[in-house]
Amino acid sequence: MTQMLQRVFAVAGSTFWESVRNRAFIGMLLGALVLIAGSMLLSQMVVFDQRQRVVLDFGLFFISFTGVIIAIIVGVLLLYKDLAQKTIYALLTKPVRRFEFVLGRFLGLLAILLFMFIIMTGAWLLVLKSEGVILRGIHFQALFLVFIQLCIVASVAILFSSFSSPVLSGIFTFGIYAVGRQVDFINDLMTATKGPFASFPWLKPIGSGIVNIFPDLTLFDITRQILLDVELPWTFIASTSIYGLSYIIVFIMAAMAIFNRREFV
Amino acid sequence: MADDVVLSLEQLVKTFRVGFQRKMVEAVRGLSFTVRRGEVFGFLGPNGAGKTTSIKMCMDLIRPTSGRVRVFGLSPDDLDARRKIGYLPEHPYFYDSLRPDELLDFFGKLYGVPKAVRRRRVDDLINMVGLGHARDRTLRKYSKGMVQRFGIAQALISDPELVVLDEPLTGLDPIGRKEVKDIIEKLNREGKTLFFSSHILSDVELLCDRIAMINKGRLLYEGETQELLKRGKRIVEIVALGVSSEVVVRLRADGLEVEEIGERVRIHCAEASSNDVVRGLVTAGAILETVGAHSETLEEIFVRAAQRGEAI
Repeated sequence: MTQMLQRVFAVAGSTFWESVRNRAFIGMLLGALVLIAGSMLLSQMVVFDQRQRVVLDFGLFFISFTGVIIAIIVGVLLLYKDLAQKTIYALLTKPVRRFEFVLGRFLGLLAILLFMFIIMTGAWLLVLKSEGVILRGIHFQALFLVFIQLCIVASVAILFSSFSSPVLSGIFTFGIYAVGRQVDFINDLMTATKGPFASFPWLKPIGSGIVNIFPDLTLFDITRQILLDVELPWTFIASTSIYGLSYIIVFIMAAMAIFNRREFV
Repeated sequence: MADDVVLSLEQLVKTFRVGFQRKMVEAVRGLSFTVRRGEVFGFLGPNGAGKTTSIKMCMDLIRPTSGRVRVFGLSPDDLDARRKIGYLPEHPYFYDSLRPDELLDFFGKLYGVPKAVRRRRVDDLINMVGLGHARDRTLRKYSKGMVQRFGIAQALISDPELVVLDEPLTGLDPIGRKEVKDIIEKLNREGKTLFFSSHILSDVELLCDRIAMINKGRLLYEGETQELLKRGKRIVEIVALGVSSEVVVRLRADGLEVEEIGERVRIHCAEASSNDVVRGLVTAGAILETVGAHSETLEEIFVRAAQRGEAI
């Protein structure tokens, strides 16, 4: 078990160092920082009592959205690059199991996301401080949930990249993210007395399929609660985290199973 | 004897489906041979013969359609088997944003090599393959030959018992080839088993104790290199001037290999018929420039066998 973990962490470590030296990654990180700083500029354009709201809302959105973009881009390219550049031959012929390799790659991706997340969060907190926002527990709860959401998106990217091209993987992953962000809305539509589901009842199985299968990513966005000054119980954070973790485990195990069957011609 | 076998391929078959119609292509057809402890074993065949496919099955990168591979008596996906193997892929590629010492350290970790040993071995290997002067550069800045040399270093990071090298001499200049050949000989002197594929048969002839020759996925020969060379024919090469085109046509009609190089003609014939050929040329007024005999090289034997498509 210890040896297995050593191998997994060795793969994760190399994934991290390989990526953070990549110019594209540095470019994406700088872009994210510019966007967060941009939320400060946006706040200057609104009346004073709305400025704090703008830096809170936009800052969190930029952290989440650029995080998702980085998770998708890096995630779909990780396994693909190993196959396209044939680095996989030297790796999988070492005493490392294929599932350990996929897990290592995923953990490496999480380390990359955590690294950029900490930098972006640091920048955001500085912006909040400069705007005189008093930090409360819910701000950190929101950040924590955003990170869990990034982990889910990363696991989806890894799953698709285990069998598909980067472009298709990117489209599929973004599709799941986009639908996941609308699960709440679809649920509301399904229970409404008017709307597409009421007009076309045959759509309901599709709707309930989406609601039941896709991860409900709206759970991980608590911006509204921050703005309304609502405190969330930690039990909600814990149950939402377990919900997210379950999806991550399923996606990564599926990626491992697919990768294990692949042939590297 | 069984303990001596480090690698065995048993009736190995690999079929791929290719193209839009998913047509079946048999890349490896019932291949069987064994590699014994301590030998340098050459795996020979032209491009597309099935060498790399076979090696990938030995390394569990692809799975056989039927038949099996045993590495130290174990399945190739067994980690205990993999710990004893070092592998250099054909046209090797590595993470090019890392330095050689970083990458070797990473590979060493995968083998579970302790940190202190790893550090020493990384230094030794970098120096052994002649990359000491470039150890501070990332692999992105390496030439093809340097990447190949790094590939050999990474195959040795675990001090493996069996070293599998897929086309280690391809793409290297004469000096690079000499260096790689020296490394192969050095490793063999240290008691390691070497299994390498190549289509540069002159190098194989010098290096290998035993060989397996394949063509179109089928085994043509497995055995001692010297034994095969003994089976080769004696060839006489005659170079002559002033050979008329009628004589050239007649020699070719007799089944001789005749090559026209400017005003010269080079003729290859069996030792037994050489006197008759020389006499015929002199009678026809040709001037003999050189007449010499040599035993068939591995390459000539291979070409003859491959053209006939029969086992040797």
